[in-house]
Amino acid sequence: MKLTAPFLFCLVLSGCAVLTDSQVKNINAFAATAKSYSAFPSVVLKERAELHLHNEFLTASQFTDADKINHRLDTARKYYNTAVQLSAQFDLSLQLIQQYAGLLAKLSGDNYISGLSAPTTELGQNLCNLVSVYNSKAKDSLPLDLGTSISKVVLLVGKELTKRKQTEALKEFVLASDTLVQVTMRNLLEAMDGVGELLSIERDLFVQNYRNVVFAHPDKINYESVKSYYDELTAYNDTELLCQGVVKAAKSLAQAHAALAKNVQTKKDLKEIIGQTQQLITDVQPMGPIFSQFVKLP
Amino acid sequence: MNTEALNALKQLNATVGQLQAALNDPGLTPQESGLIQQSINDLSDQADTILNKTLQAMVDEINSSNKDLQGLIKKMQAASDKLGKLATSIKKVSDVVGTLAEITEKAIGAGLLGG
Repeated sequence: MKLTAPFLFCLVLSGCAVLTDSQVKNINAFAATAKSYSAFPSVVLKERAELHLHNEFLTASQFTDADKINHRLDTARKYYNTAVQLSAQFDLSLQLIQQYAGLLAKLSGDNYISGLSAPTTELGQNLCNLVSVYNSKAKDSLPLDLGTSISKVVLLVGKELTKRKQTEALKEFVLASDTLVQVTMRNLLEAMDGVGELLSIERDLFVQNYRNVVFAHPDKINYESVKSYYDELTAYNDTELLCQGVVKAAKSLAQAHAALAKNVQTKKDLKEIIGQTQQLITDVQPMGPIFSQFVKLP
Repeated sequence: MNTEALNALKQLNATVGQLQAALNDPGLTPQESGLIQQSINDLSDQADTILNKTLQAMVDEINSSNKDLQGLIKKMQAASDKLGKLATSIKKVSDVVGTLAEITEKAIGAGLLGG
């Protein structure tokens, strides 16, 4: 076809994508999963604040002086409000990682390219009409599909150029952000380690309080008090499990991103979704229903 | 995680436990009982203060990279906008060529251009 030369020229001008389709697909799979991340630490922190509030009630319930009881309850309320406010701030960095994942999903999607079909189809029609009119008047006729071919070249060059810019941006951002993602997740994991220890201290305090305030008084031991003790210990177990879930998901996200960054350094074909991203999908997806029991998801 | 803060919390809680046990003594005078309750309150207040400071330190640690993350997001948003503009420009080029073809077709049809 006569269009081969300009076609190739245009392709050289536009250059090639810096990542393969399989690499872009991997970035998109990571981004889609990270975008739906739900294992937010605030859930654990709010639960811990609730458990601490119960401990304050237990402490106050041993008092006989109304002023002392009021003081304990006032302090408990203030502490609880501050703790709940602080718990929301535990999510800020993850929310930013989610925004990053959202933009990564957008950059790795085909939304920029898909919009290029409509005007070039119109262009093809106009060029075909022009060729028909030209052929009716000129001695040397042009191929009737010339218009469609030019239209295809415009579309192809446009797509290739966009794809190149798109993959350049993707590669740049995945590589540039990895250190940031790793540092953020490491800070989160260290903090969650501390939250786990605080939970353990809180549980010890609860057992101690319950023994001194309830079990030390035979007249207070009954079905209700034993059931209450059991329920509270169950709540501690559940919160510890949530804490482990947050840690697991955060570790998984960090590992998946590190693997992604490693796999986009050079242009290569990836046979399938890389293992760490698959692990992230496995770790993060089941968390949605669990965490949504505690907090309304955005 | 501040180990000193954790140890201080454990010590405060252990002391509160001892005072709670002492409060169970039926032989306490009202004054003694009141003093023990006051001490429990004071120690619990201190524990709450340490807890809040510990949580605040954790929040600061977690969010220490937020400014850089926000900078990255801003750059990505700009890159996304730029790509959107590029696609729009390609559409415009396509439209202009299409319109020119239409004008030329009509001009040839009307005999204004040679054929």
